[in-house]
Amino acid sequence: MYYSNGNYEAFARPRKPQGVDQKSAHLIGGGVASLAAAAFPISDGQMAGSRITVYEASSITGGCLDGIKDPVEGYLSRSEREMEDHYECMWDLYRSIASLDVEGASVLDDFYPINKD
Amino acid sequence: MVRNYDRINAQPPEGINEKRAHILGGGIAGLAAAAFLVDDAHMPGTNVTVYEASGTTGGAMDAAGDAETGYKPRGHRELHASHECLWYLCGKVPSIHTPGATVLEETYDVNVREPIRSNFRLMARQGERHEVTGPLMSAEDGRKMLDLWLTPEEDLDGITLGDWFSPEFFNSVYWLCWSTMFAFWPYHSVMEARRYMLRYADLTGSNVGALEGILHPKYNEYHSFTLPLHKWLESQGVKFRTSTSVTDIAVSEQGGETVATGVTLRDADGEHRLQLTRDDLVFFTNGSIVQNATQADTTTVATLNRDTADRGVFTVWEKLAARDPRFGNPAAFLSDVDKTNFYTFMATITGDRTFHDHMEAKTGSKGSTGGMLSVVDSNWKLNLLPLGKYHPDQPADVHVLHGYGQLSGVPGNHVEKPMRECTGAEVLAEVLYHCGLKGKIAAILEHSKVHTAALPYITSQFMPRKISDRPKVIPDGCVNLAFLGQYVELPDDVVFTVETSVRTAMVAVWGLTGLEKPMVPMPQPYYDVRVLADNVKMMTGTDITADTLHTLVEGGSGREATDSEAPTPAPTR
Repeated sequence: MYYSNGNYEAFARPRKPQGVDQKSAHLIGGGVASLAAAAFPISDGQMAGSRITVYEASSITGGCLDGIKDPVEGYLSRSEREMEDHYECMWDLYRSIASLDVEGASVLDDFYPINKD
Repeated sequence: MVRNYDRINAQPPEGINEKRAHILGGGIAGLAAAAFLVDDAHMPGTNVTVYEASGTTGGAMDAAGDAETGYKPRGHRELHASHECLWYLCGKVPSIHTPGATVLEETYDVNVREPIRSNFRLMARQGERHEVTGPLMSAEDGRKMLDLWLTPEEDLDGITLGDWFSPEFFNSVYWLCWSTMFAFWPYHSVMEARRYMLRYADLTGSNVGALEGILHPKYNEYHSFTLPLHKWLESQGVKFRTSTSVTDIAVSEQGGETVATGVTLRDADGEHRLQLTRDDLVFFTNGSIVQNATQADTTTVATLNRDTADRGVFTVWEKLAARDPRFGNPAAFLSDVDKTNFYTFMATITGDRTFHDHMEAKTGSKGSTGGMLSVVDSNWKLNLLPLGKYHPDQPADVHVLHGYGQLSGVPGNHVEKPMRECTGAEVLAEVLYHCGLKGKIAAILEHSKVHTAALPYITSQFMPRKISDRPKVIPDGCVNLAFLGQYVELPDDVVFTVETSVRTAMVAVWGLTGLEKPMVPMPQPYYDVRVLADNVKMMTGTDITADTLHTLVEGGSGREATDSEAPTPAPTR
């Protein structure tokens, strides 16, 4: 395993791994670990998304990163996570995921100013 | 350290669509400013104009000539993995040689396949290896270097390397390796040297002779960096006006703020004045390391240009500085071309492998992978850089060698003339002599085209100075004027790197547009305890221990730190 240091490596896409077009990914469990493991083969490993399947026991992905809106019973969240600015792998993931709220922004782009102001 | 969390795309700054950018100088700093304006600050590309005095953009990152008449770049830049702002820029720009890749990816890939590692850093006695093992410097100079690390730079105004170190230091293995990497000489600023020692502490510790971490472009700097960036900016709507020089910038005080109100430009049709408002952002590169360069070929001599009346952007900077001390003091850098010049050369050798086979056998390095080789007993202080494929269109039987001589005014060892009085052929003859090819000089010259360049100001940015001699990127009070390039004060940063130019562009664009985006931090390898331990061991000969650290903190000076125990010579790899 080679750990990168800065922009020189962060912004260079790696070469396409050998044989990646013949491989399939089976992700058992649909929490954030699995979802991230499904995203990196696409963004970095250059695997076709159609070769990746996520299996999840419950009816919704995300595991404990949950948030149910129920106007009758009240909002449901089973717990809460703390996040910090040095979560390198997490922010590397979310700078390549599009925000659902702000057009043209990544989840990170949307998150960053909220926590700055 | 650069954190992924800070790698955001920021929202467009208020009013950015109504602003215009006038970029004065089309070197890498100006091109980078255009890129950051368009891609980070969301300015429409058509609002950005780059003005360049010469006929091509790229400044010192050039590559004129061709295989037939010989290539003729004026110089060569060293690149490093820690050049955060440069690689950020290159990550945006599509390569023009490698389909689907960015310039960064192309550079990354070539350095994975052909990494630089020197096995033959120093040469002496007509082609013999000069060892880089053994003590790198004397115990006394090791203490002085540690003392330098611990001295705040505010105390170093106007002091030279020669003032600080002992005369023997300038014959040490450390100096021979270190000074030739960055082109320092004993009359240069110790403040600047200290910044280099700290900024590149991971590159220039006990492994200083290895050059590990130095990167090279796929081809030359013009075709690998300048041209793709220029083309990409054009595709974004950025306008270029070459053969257009700036002759003055008008500035006025308005209610406690400093506003650039006009720019005077000169082109083939004469002088023109641009009237400016606060919405006109001016990015001025106030100096060029290739200013007043002259070039010559195999049979002619490049005359050192000593003219002080017309020095292009330096002259514009002199006008500005004469009116306002916030704009610095160009005289600190521009007053002694005998100290600030050096000469470069490029040999293009066709259909004769003698030289390259000889050097490959000697160094064990192919193409560009050996990095720079310095000739320690050369009167001219020659530094040689054998290169691999230099030009995209270079035929297979064409080989190139680039190099420079730090001292142009003293006679050579074989050619009994100073470098500045030599033709290209004579320069190559001196080089071949030092490489142990004295008997083959005439035969190799028959196959060679040699271009030389006289660069009067190439190390002027290293001259002894005070902090205030360089303007800040955005001088205090300025609302629409920024300074870019090598003659600008960036806290902690060095000068004479491509990274410096790109960083000044980034600071200028973030600052003048009000972009809410984190600035890429300065690399600080000296806060890595492994790097610190390696450097302290090199300087003092002792392993870093809790006691050493305690003494450093308590004493605040390396002298006290090591006087109690007799230092042993610094061991090396």
